[in-house]
Amino acid sequence: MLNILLGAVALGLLWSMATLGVYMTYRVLDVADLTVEGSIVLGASVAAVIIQQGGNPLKATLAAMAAGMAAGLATGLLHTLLKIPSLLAGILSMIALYSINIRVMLGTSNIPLLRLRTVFSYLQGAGLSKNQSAMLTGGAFAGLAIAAVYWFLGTELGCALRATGNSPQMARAQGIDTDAGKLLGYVLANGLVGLSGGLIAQYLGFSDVQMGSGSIVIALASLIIGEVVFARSGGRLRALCAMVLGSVAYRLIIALVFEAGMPATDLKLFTALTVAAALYLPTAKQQVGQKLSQRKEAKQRAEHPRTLQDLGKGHNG
Amino acid sequence: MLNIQGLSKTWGRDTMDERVALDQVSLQLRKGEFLTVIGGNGSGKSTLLNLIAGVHQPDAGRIYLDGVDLTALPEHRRAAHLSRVFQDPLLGSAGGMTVEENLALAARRGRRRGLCWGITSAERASFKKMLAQLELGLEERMSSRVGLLSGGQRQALTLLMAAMRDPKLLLLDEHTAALDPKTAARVLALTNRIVGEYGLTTIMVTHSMRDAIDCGGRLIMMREGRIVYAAEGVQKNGLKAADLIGKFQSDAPAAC
Ligand SMILES: Nc1ncnc2c1ncn2[C@@H]1O[C@H](COP(=O)(O)OP(=O)(O)OP(=O)(O)O)[C@@H](O)[C@H]1O
Ligand SMILES: [Mg+2]
Repeated sequence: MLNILLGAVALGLLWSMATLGVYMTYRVLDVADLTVEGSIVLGASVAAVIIQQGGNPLKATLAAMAAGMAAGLATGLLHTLLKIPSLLAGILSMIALYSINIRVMLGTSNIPLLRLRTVFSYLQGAGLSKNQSAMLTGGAFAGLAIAAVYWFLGTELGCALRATGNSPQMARAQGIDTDAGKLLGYVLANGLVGLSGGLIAQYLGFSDVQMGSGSIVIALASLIIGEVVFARSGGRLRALCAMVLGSVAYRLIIALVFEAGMPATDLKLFTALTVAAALYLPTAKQQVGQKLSQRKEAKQRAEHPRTLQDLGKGHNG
Repeated sequence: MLNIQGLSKTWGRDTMDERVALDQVSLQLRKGEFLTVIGGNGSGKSTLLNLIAGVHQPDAGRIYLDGVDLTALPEHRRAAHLSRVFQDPLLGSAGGMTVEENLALAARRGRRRGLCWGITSAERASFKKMLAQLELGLEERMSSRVGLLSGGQRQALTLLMAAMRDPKLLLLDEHTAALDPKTAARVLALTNRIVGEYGLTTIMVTHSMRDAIDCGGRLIMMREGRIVYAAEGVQKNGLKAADLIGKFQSDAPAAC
């Protein structure tokens, strides 16, 4: 049991970079980016191939990140250059990546990494168990990712990116190239996702073309758990830490639900339902708020007669 | 300062909904001039401002600001030269970002944005001073999210942001229309103060004939994408709302 929990924590930490990536697109840029489903596998495949060919595991991990960035660039260009709606652009990338991932894995759909050196081998060599090493290594990567994202979002460029997602019209009025902002956001977000994929493949001991299925929902579930449980208040740093904590909490919940006897095949249904319920909460609040403000505006108009507007109406009639 | 030559825009050309929004409009503004624009719904006021700001491309005509040809520049590049306040208070500022972050974004309008910190402590101090002058207590709420402010506070903040970086032109499109009458009056007073203090060349669209007469030194009335009436100086100051309503009605095509 303890080992199951340790494994859950380790996997959660390795997934947390993907959650941070989804935070970048879903929260900062305000787009639902389905590229994740493909870019996480791309990261896994690139890392797996490099390691299988005897490459350095650390380099393989960084290559996974770079590959994720390239996938993000593709989606970003589809969206900003070809003006394809963001959801569709992500789906197109996701589909294309399925074929690309098989090509990356040299025509196979699965690459095993049994008994090969991975990023976790360094600490395992120092006498730690695989889960312990994965926790420490994953924790280090997660910590670096939090620091990097926190720093970036505080820079001029990061602020411009946040404005782009928050209020594109305001951003352009303040001289921000919103297309460039989105492009950069897609690239950075999928870089994080690719990094996550590369680490996950090394932990699980394989890369598989199917392993990304449902990953956007898993990342969203982690994001929402993180926000609801760990970041109800507080600043950006806290919100970013909550992404990591949410990822770990999600894995722990899943481990416990499995222990309680839920069949593994029901996992996706369970995750989807959790996310749907959590996503509805803010929407419900917003709907109520919108109704109220509409009423207020109608009232204001009624108190404002005698404008050219009203006179114009008379003529058209 | 601003020189607009033969600006035209037709929406939905060659479709059933074809609609001439702007028809060969030419307009010149001198430095520091404050122009108010009135006209009925769909007369092309917003289209004029949006073409100047680069939100849409004109079908014909050119826009020069201080000798620079803006016509081909994308919206975000024009922001280096001009600033805007929108009708909807939610559009002019980023609701999810703090008051000081919004100001810091405006302080970098028209500059390259790099990997320096997005807001410096020197800036914070100067923002605090600027906010204090609004007398809305915003200087105490610098790290509150803008989404928590009232519509009037947001418009005041947006005005302040628009006045930063010494824009050559300020575009106001019914920026008090979404506010309650009392707040609208305060935001308008603030507009006059800021425009005066910074000596901004300004175009203000409004549906209130009172405001159009009281503010600025020039007034134009638009209908069906054309400027149908213009007044300036003494003539403008002597206008009464009733005169404008008369103008509006006498020039209107006969109702059928
Ligand atoms: N993006 C658009 N697409 C199609 N038609 C448009 C668009 N924007 C404006 N129009 C049309 O152009 C005409 C002029 O609109 P515009 O918004 O400039 O009027 P306005 O004078 O600002 O009116 P209001 O007082 O209602 O704000 C209208 O007939 C409008 O329907
Ligand atoms: Mg308008």
